[in-house]
Amino acid sequence: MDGTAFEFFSIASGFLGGLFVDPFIAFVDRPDKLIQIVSQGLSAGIMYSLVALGFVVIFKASGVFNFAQGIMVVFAGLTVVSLIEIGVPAIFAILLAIVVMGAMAVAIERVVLRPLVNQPGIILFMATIGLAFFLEGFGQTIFGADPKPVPIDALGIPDDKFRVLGDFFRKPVRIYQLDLTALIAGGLMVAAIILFLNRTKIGRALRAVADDNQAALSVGIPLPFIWVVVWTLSGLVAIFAGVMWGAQSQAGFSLAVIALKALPVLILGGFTSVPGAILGGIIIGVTEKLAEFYWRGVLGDGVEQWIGYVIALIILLFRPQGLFGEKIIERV
Amino acid sequence: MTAATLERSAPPAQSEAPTPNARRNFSEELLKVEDISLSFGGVKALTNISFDIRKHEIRAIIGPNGAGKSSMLNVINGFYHPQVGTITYKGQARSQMRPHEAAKTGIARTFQNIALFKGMSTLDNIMTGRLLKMRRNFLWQALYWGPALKEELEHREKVEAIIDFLEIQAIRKTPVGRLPYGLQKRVELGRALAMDPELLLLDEPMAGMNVEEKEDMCRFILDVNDEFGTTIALIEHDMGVVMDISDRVVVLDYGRLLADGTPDEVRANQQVIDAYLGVSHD
Ligand SMILES: Nc1ncnc2c1ncn2[C@@H]1O[C@H](COP(=O)(O)OP(=O)(O)O)[C@@H](O)[C@H]1O
Ligand SMILES: [Mg+2]
Repeated sequence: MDGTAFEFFSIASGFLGGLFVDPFIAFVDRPDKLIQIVSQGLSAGIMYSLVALGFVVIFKASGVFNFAQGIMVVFAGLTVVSLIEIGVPAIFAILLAIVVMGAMAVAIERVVLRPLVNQPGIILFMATIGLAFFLEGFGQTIFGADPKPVPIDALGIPDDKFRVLGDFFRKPVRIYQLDLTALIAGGLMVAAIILFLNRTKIGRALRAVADDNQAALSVGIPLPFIWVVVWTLSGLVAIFAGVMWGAQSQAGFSLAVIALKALPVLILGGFTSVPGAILGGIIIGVTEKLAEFYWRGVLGDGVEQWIGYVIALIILLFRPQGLFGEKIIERV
Repeated sequence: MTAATLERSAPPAQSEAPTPNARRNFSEELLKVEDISLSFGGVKALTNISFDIRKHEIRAIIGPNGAGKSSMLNVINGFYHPQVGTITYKGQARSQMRPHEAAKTGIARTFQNIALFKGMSTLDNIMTGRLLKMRRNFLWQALYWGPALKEELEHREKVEAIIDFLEIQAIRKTPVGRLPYGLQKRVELGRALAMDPELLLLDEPMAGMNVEEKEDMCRFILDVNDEFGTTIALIEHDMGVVMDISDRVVVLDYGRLLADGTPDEVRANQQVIDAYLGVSHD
């Protein structure tokens, strides 16, 4: 009896120590590692932010939860990679991919959204599930089912690592250029989207539609056009995410799980909040990397996969609308 | 009641205005609906409705709740598409309107249940009324900031003038969701005015207001009509207000047109007294 109690106590204290004490000892011991991990987390996080942003603009403007977002990332990434593979210069490959995603937005508005206008959200959600399966099948027919390596050189993405802050710490911090590129380019893209939403005529129209459909219609904002704009915007984000995410490993259909990664980000940030998507992505990205490195010992190897959901669940308990979401109001 | 009985015979009434209902000569038709029928599933919201709205007049639409008044405005600005009938606006006949087209051709409106962009400020809300008037698109904005900025400032000026006109300077920067009901109605009117409308549709602009707010709103409506010559169609329950400010009145009941004429004619109509006024003044 005493023995088991003691054993339990020692396991528990070891567990809690591993969770809350050891990481801080490690922080102090190897601050260079900490910086390196945070930088990796930031670059993963900005990618989550972008994908979540793709969700948010579509959800705000049309109330559609786009299940096909993940497969759109794959589709966009594979379009760029395949075009480069057959000899198209990188810049044209990207421009063509933009055209393809724009055409896809027009087609989706015509074939899926317009016939279903005024249907309940769940119907539209189901329609995007159908869309996801269609894009997957169609994509595998065009691109083949095998993942493709992203031609990093052709795209001009630097793929090296460099060491900084060697004088401050025992060991210099290793920074991967790929991470840095993702972080900077992703940050620029986020900034461009925010400028677009806040400073342009279409951005203003888009916010109006998000706020009140009926009122937006009455001042003459054409809803179908706005839908095409948000799906195209989400397609642009998909191109970027597909290429950069693919560059970390390969561009293939398994990348579609990036959409699942965006889900806790959305819960954390709120489904309708642009700043929420950005901050949420960064929080989840950094937490995942930190957990992977410092908590793997106590929480197991898969911690990176599920920690985001745990954070999202905790937030959900206290703030159902997410950290930044607006108060939940029934759509009428 | 035919249209002929309503023609005003004395055009030069500009100088002396004996009654508000004979202020001007309204002969030119701006909008005409003919044989409009609209149903939702089994519910007949409108049955065989025909009437016209003439340039520069204030046209009231009255009737008990559920009579089809809001549906009528929704047909006019293209929110609802009638199964039968034609809508002739500025000489062009069509079987249905589209909201975007309505807005582009000068039809602005407010709603029975206020429809504002709750998260935006008063200024931004009214600014959305200028969206269709902005010619510079976003590519242009991105490439060449100057002219786009100049255009933005011009629209800003116009919006500020409306804010002054409606006496809502104090709430320019306030998110409209936080404003009291009466002020929200005023902002909604401001947004409609920002569209430089030729035809302004007001769905119960004074509902839920106190006497003072109602008086203000009446004054704004009359001023808009007077100063800008804007044609106005409004739905209103307060019979005193209707008789005071409108030039002609349409009465709807259970989706049917009960009467159409000047306030005096409508007030004297026995059917109207039975169906509507009698109920309302009991
Ligand atoms: N979108 C709609 N869907 C179903 N029925 C509607 C809709 N809009 C109006 N109606 C019905 O049409 C009738 C007239 O409504 P409405 O035009 O709002 O009347 P009013 O504005 O005169 O009170 C009512 O029976 C109402 O229930
Ligand atoms: Mg009504």
